[in-house]
Amino acid sequence: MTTFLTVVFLLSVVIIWMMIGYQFVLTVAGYLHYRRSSAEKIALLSDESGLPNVTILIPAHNEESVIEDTLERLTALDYPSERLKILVINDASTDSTGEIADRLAAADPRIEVLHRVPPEGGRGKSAALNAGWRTVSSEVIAVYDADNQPEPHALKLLVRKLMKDEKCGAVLGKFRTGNRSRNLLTRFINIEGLSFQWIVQAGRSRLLGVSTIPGTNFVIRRSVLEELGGWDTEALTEDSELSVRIYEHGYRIDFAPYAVTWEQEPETLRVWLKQRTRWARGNNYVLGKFLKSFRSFNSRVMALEMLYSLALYYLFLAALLISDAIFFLGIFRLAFIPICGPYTQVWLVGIVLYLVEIRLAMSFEGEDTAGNFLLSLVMYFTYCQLWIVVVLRAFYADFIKRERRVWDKTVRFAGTIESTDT
Amino acid sequence: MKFLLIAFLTACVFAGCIYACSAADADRCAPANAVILWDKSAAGADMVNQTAIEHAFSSIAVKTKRVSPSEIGGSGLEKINLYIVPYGSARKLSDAQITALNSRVRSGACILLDGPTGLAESFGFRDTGTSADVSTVKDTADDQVFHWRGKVAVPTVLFPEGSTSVYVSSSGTNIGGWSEWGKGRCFFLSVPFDPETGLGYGRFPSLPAAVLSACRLKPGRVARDIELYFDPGYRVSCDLDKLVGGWRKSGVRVIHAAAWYTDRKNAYDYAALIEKCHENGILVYAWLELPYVGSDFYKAHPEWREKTADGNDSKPGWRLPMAMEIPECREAVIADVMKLLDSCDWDGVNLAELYFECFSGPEDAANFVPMHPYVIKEFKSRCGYDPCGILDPSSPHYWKTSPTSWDRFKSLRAEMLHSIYVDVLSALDDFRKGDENTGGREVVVTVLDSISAPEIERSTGLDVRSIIGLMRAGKVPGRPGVRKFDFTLNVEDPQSMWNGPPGRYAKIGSIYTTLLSDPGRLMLNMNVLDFRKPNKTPFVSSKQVGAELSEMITSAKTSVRRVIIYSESSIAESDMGLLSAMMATVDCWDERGACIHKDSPCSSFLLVEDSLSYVSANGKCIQVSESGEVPIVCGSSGVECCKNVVKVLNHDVPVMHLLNISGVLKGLEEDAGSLIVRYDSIAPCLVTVDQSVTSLLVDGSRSDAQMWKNDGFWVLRCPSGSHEVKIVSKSRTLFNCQIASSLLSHTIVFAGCTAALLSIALAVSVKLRRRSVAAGGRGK
Repeated sequence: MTTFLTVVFLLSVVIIWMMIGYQFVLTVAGYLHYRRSSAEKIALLSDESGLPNVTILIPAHNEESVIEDTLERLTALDYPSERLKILVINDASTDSTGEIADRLAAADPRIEVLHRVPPEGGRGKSAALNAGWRTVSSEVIAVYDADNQPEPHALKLLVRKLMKDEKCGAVLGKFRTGNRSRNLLTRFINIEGLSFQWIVQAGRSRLLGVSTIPGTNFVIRRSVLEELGGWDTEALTEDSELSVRIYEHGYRIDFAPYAVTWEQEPETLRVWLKQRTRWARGNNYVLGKFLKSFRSFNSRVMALEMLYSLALYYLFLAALLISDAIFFLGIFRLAFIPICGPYTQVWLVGIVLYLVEIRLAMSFEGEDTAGNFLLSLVMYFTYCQLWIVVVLRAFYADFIKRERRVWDKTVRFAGTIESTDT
Repeated sequence: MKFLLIAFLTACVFAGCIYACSAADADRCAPANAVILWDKSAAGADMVNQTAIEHAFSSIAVKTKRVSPSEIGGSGLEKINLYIVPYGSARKLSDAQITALNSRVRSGACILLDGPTGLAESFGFRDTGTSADVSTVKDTADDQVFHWRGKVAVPTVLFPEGSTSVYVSSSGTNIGGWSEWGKGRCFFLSVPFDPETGLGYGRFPSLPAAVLSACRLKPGRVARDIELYFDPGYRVSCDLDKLVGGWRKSGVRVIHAAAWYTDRKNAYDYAALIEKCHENGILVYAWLELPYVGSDFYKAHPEWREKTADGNDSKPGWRLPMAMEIPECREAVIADVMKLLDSCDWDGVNLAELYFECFSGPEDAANFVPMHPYVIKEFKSRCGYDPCGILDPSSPHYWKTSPTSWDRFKSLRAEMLHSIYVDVLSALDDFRKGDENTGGREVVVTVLDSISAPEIERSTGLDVRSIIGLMRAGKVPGRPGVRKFDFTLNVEDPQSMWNGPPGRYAKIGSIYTTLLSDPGRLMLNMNVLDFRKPNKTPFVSSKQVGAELSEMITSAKTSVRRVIIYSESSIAESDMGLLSAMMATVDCWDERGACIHKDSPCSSFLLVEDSLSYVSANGKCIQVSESGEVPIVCGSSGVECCKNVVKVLNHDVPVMHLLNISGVLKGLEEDAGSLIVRYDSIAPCLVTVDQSVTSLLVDGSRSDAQMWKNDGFWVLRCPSGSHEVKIVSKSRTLFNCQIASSLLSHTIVFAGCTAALLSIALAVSVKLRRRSVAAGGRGK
């Protein structure tokens, strides 16, 4: 038994540290991406070539608290008016979202509203986006969530980046937390969001040429959408599902961190837990859909990504739970593993690495403050551990209880976007 | 990319430093590595003094290398942690040499100085120019008093403020102590250490122990083969855990426990003592003092009490002797002894002082024994007259005037004593053989040295040659028709010799070694007792302490393998801690560069420096235990740094260590999670290891040996004899896992530190970049 537990523990350590090692490689690659993107932004802004017609799709279901601000912000985008169209997809809203959109559309010819009512309407974001892109004819489709406030150059930068290369099927920008000073949770989310984008998105983009569409602040060629048949209406994380298919059809997704949008993040733990569980369940769906056939994937990097997602969500989690379980069994003297080596230092190095990687990611945004450093330390023991709960909840819902996947809209909070310009 | 490469390399270097710091071993108390500044040209008292100091330290296993004053300050002395500068050498040092020594001590070494000199002055011990006569010195650390032979004019020296006093004169003047000097310490005596005897116990016998204690040093090697007598009567209401734990720490191998506390009302709990000793890897022998059995037996059988010629009960001392010459009494005594031996898990028995006790002999007619009616009757039937006449000056058979009568009596007495020995040894032979579980046990017979002191035979009837004639290992022929027995002979010097020089034990040992075919079956008995009166002997202490005791042990061990001391309660506390080092001094160590060689009939433990995690002993790489010890097998051994890179890399894999062994260690190997031990042991062999044992193979066969678990160590009882045991603590898979775990975790820590430092470097570069961009923007 002792030998068995020791072997299991060692395997757990290997898995955990392989993931940490990969994360570090991504961090360095993210740094290189940061260096490159600074120069790229200047080049794109000074580019004076023509811009294509773009339609911004805004799926909106009961978004009365935020839609007006979002539309005002979108109409102020630095993009030729004659080439910009904003389509609000009022997806069976039961509040005044439709009325507000109609009022603003009446004032600005670039805004159009597509009202969808049940049974067609209210079937989730994917269905709404599918309904939207099929009604427009522009060469490029952009997607923003109804709570977004993009910076003026964001769209132009995304489109110019997209038009640089025909094999580039989509370009995504960076999202920032508009309500980051609201409370401790939103501060954590801000750190998490920046770290994710600068380490995982930028790192993978630089290292493997892989990025995953985040669901907002991205542009995609209409031709690609047509080729793919639009969004998968079954997917709860339609963005990552679409990303896989883009790569499978031989296109690439680029990450342009200089194209920034500000969005609202959950301000209560309940809302956060719901949203993240939906993401985790969406990930389960994507894994279930593609994992069986990942060996025959055209895109090897995407096949690798599939495995990475699987490892991140389940192998890493299992390794963590096993090592924790062995640790607690040891405390209560129910099990003993005679491990050798400086494991306290191993644990400390793990924390230090986590802290300095986050600090590096935050430094790209000039947010590498002492306050954020302390917050990230607190996060390690609190917010990060909630991730275990989220994955277990999603696992329980999908594989044990086998609940039906239903789109669950994230609750918005009125007037909480504080600062939107970098 | 260039920046990344530079940052990566820098991070690697820093990570290496951080890793090295994190992986450093915890501090261990260092073994003393001393040099003595030897003045080749010294003569007279100076030569005697420096010889005495060297002798005192080397007899407690402290390596003392002689160096000339010109070598001070040169290279090669970096690892020296104790500088001994005798008075004669100190006087001849130049200013540069004094400065060099000051600097060595300031950086952490210790120094021992005796007598006021310029060197002592440089350490703050200022000579006032006056002196006072001193004849009595008190060791404050061990609460001992030393009475010097005559008055000595001791210079009055002012000790530095904050210094710790160790020796004070009867007037309270500080004449020995130590003070801090930078990171090191300076131990100073106001007078030369021992310019008279040259053996180290003329003035401050306890000095070596005091210096090691002050300098936080320990001896360079230990032999845990101490045998001690234990009399529970001197340890009433003593905490057994503490007592036995203390014995283990001191390196006790066997306890010979007084086995006559068997009275029904106040019986001692021998079972608890034996269990506790076994838990601590200590063997326990029943120490018998026949013909005394116990109070109950004595009270129950007044008819068997030994008698004097006037018919009174014999009371020669503390013992109440029974008349074992009476066959019925002998049978009853033997039955009583066997009952005691069978009642507990004894590992051996020590049959001590079995003779007719009357040290004054026939001169003391009132106390002369044996004169029991049974003896009188036997003598009468054999010679036709009353033996009491032998003691009566008016009788024609008086011993002084009738040698024939006296010889007849001595002959009968010797015959009776021989019969007693034969019967007792016959009975003990069954006990010695033991059973399948316990294996063989040892029988020890303790006798007074009647060869060096022939009067013993005359007064008590004890003839050592006759006893050796009963020994299987004895060269002396036995009596026709009497079988020989398997026992060990323990020779005790009679009290009349106790004031002799310590070197007497070497002589006694050499006499008896020639009489035995197996010198391993000979041991010497020494008594440490508070028996001397001040200034009546050549010694300064009332009992044997410090350098005198170490000299006694060293002397004994030059000719015999085993030494037993009376008693565990009478040995000075500071000596108890150094007994195992005193036991190890007979090993002949010869330093040749990094290698140390020895030739010894005993196994021992080498204490190594902090920096060594592995040493190679006889070509086999052995991991150093947590306490910094390496077991060294008997015979010749070469010890050096281990060059097995893989093993050294895995230094934190918990390999099982041999912490102690009660037998003679003949071979030792590490094999994955196991330890292969070869040993010789007359009694059961207790093997102490630092990991739990999952299985034991004795000579290749699985064995269910008894095992005791203690605080951080495990004790196994292996069978007596010559055996090879494989002690398995873990499976090979688990062992390999532990190596993998060690390598993995070290790699992670190193790589992790590198990665973290690289990340920090990148973050700094981003910050600098942002600052330069901001400054550029402002500039524009």
